[in-house]
Amino acid sequence: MKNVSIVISLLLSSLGNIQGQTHLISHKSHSGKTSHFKIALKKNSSISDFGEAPNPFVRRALLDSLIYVDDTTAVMITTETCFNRFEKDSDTTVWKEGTDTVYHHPLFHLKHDLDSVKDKLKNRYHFKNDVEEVVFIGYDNGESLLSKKEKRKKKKKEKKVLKKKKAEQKEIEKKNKEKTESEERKKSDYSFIPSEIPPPPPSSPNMNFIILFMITLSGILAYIHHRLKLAG
Amino acid sequence: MKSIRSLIHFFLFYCILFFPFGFYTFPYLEKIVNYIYGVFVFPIAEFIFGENAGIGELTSDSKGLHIWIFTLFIFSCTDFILTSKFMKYMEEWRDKLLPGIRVFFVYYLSVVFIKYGFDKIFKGQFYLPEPNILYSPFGYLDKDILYWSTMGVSHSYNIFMGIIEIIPAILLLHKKTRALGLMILIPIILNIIAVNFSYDISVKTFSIFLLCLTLVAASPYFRSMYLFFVKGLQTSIHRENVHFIHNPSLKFGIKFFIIGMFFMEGLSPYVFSGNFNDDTSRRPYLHGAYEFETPADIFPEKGTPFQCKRFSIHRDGYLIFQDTDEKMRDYKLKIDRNNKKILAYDYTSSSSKTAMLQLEYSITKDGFLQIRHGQDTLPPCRILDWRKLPVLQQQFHWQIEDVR
Repeated sequence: MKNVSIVISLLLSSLGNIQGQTHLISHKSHSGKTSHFKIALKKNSSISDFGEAPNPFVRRALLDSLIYVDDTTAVMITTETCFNRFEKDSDTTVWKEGTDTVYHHPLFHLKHDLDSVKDKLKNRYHFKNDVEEVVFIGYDNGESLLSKKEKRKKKKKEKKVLKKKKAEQKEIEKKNKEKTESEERKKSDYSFIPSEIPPPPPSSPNMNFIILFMITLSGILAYIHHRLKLAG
Repeated sequence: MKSIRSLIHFFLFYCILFFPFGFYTFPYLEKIVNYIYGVFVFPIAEFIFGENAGIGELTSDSKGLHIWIFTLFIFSCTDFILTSKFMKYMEEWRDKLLPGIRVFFVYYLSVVFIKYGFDKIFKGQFYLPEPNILYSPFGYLDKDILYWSTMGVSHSYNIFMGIIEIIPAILLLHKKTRALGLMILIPIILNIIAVNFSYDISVKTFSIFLLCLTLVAASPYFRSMYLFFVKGLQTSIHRENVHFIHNPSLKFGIKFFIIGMFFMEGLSPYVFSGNFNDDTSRRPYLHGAYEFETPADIFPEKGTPFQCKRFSIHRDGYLIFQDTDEKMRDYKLKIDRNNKKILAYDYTSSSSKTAMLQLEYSITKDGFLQIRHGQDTLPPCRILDWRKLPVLQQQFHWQIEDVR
């Protein structure tokens, strides 16, 4: 059983990390003492070492099912291991296949908001499989419990909220007209945005094969084109 | 002389095949090399240095790498002697191979510099300095991290450097522009070597290796260059005609494929991650620097006083404390957002899997980070806006009167 913090720490350590550096510079970048370098190297020796950007993580977890238990608990069933190439000795951070009980998950407790769960799973979590293939047990959109009138009322309310939001957005945009101010704001806000969104998987074998296939195909087309040019 | 030339070619060829350079599109090469390294180098090191040779994994500028290169040299010498003594027909065939090997060198140099060039353009190599580095006093930093960080603060210079590396890399791919590409590449690599030696950056061996490759690949053009630049004679550059494939269309198609692969190698880490500027990529939760209103002793149980005035959270998941004497202590970090806990692990100790420090945190409405250590509530921490530090500001003054 693993809790959410492990997943968060895994994501935290994997966020957009394509920095290239030597082992020694990587160690010194977190103010590591040179006397500790050999120990650190033994524990984390698989990162790039010739100053070029390192090869990224390999992540290929599949979410099979998500089972709602109660307000605080959900069970997720995953297949295939999600592993981190940068961490050699990483039993605690490796996401292994199997059944995980997840407590106080910010998303998985939304029992009556299946669409939102699906949407966020699709955009924020990078499981390899399509969200539509995931079996959701105990989740719904809450609509079946509502009458038609209530549904209409809900829709009207949503429309009103949307209009309000749009109006608010326009006001904000007016306020932020001056470019310098907006840039400063972006910069000042930037470092404090808590980021839950891991980057899209930097590499996946399938994607590599697709690109490889496309390059091969373009090579063949170039060959045919050249041949025809010579012939004609 | 001819035999030494041939030996150098084959030695460098073996080095390319067995150098542990990590390629994105073909990561297995590194694994294969590491496996072969394990089979050969450990017994050799034990034989030379004894059981406590202290040889680690195959990493840049390590004792292991130097022994590995020495092993490759022995291999190439053995191969050379055996073919010279016992297989005369092989010797002739080998000499005919040299121009082909030089083409192989040129293509290797091209892919390496395409990779490094795009790494610079997209800030994958010289990244934005981390908050703990930004708040370290200048004189307390080692030269290598200082150089890396200085390079990291200027995106425009990185773009320039990246383009300067990509241009010769592209020129190398065409027979007509190959000599020009090599001539541009020589000063670039010399500068890299000078930086690596002067700032003690541990890529010295690899940069020397790249220079050797460039010099050997450019060797057929040296005579023409000498006659033109020194003797002032009219001369033409001798182009070597190497034909691995005789069918021109097939040759064109394969070349197209190889160039595509090279660009895939350089670009795909950024295309897949969608991150074309590492400076603006999202940082992890709580990443940044924090300053205590009054210094706090976070490690009272450790004995040595450590009045922590500041701490930083590194993007690779490290927690770094800075004391009033500018000493740093760094720990591996995990954040439990549900229970609002910061867990610090001593990665240098054998018990690195149990947290040696657990801090409870909360963010107050007025933007402070409140930390509790056990029963003690530490002084509030101000969240430092490290991106507003002068070093990270866009500054350009064409005229000194513009400086304000």
